[in-house]
Amino acid sequence: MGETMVTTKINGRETRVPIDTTALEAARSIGVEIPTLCYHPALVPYGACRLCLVEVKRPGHGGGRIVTSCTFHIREEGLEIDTHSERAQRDRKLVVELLLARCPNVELLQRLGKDLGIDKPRFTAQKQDENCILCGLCVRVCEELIGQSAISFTGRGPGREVSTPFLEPSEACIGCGACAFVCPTHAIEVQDLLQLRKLDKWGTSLQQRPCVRCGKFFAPEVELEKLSDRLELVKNWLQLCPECRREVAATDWIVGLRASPASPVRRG
Amino acid sequence: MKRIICDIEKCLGCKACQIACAVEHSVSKDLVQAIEEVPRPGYRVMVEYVEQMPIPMQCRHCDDAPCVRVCPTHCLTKEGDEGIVLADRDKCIGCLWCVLVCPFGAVRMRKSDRVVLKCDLCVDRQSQGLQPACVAACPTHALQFKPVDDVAKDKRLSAARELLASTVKPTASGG
Repeated sequence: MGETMVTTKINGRETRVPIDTTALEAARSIGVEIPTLCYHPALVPYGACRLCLVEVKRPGHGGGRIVTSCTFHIREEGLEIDTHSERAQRDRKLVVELLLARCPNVELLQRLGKDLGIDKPRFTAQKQDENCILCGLCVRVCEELIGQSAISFTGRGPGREVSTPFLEPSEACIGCGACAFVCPTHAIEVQDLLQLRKLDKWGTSLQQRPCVRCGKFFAPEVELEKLSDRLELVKNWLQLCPECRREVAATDWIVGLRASPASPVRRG
Repeated sequence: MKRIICDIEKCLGCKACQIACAVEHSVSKDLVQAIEEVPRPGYRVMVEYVEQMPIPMQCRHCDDAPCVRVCPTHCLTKEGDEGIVLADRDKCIGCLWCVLVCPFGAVRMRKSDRVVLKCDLCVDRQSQGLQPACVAACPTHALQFKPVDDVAKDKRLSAARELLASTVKPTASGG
């Protein structure tokens, strides 16, 4: 193919990757694991969590440079990348300690800390119940992929948090739950309470549509409206829940068989 | 282009296809170990009952697949000559739009970890020259894996046979 390939050395192992590949992707492609929290293959790299730090050296240019591997694109020949160099590990450890100071009771961070050999974080935690690490995955998913931008970062410095505009329930939220799915620390919760879909963190409470066949509430009205518009579907397509649609499709199959004169159908 | 075709008159409703599918998509690929796995391996073929008639339903790998069109992450793709709709789990963001729009209800969500389960026509097995697990497990050969062109051809042949039978009989009785 017409892609330009570049050679790079990752942890002493030479590998050829297409130009513009990020250091993280290159490392993962040869099975080198770099811890990440804010990376998602479907999203534009963001470099928020700083866990993916690696040391990049350009031969003949002295000491290496610490970069976030998810946002570092390999664009030249012969770079040497050390994913677990002493410096990178030391900095990564500090990052985890700082994250632990923000969210001391998040299991994922505690596990990461243990892996990096942190017995007791040097910094004391301010709040015990905080579980948002400000990785921005939810914000980016909502904006880039779902296209709703219902939530965003608000405030600066220590006051920075993810919330809906003016902390009011957002009208843009369609209750799809993608933010909850991508959240690495499970800080967002989606609840289906009969006719309501609730995302308490955003104050969202949406009316769900009942299936016309079985009566089960299966998805928020606004979400289904969006899907119909997006696919230009006929209005009654999304009146049935997925399970009922499967049964209806099966029924149609049988009816179709019965109607065709050529095929004898087992009498039931 | 090969697809899983079902001759529903032969289906017993034994659900061997479901079990074989779940085992094939488990980590261990062994029935006894698969039961113990967490999360529980999920099946991608679902036997539905309509008027007591069992019908196995799985992804049709539609030409203009709504799930592929609606997927915001392009995690569902339809590629290659075979046109198989495949899901890349790493890219999934769990919006479940594919589940909501599938006209056959053939895309399912595993509740425990919100993972989308859909038929991949056992691409791994196919690359080893094997048939999809459900087809291989079907004891009555109700499920078959064959080229789509052959399906039309078989139908044509059986229709021709019917036609012959109906035209030959009267002359036989008349003469």
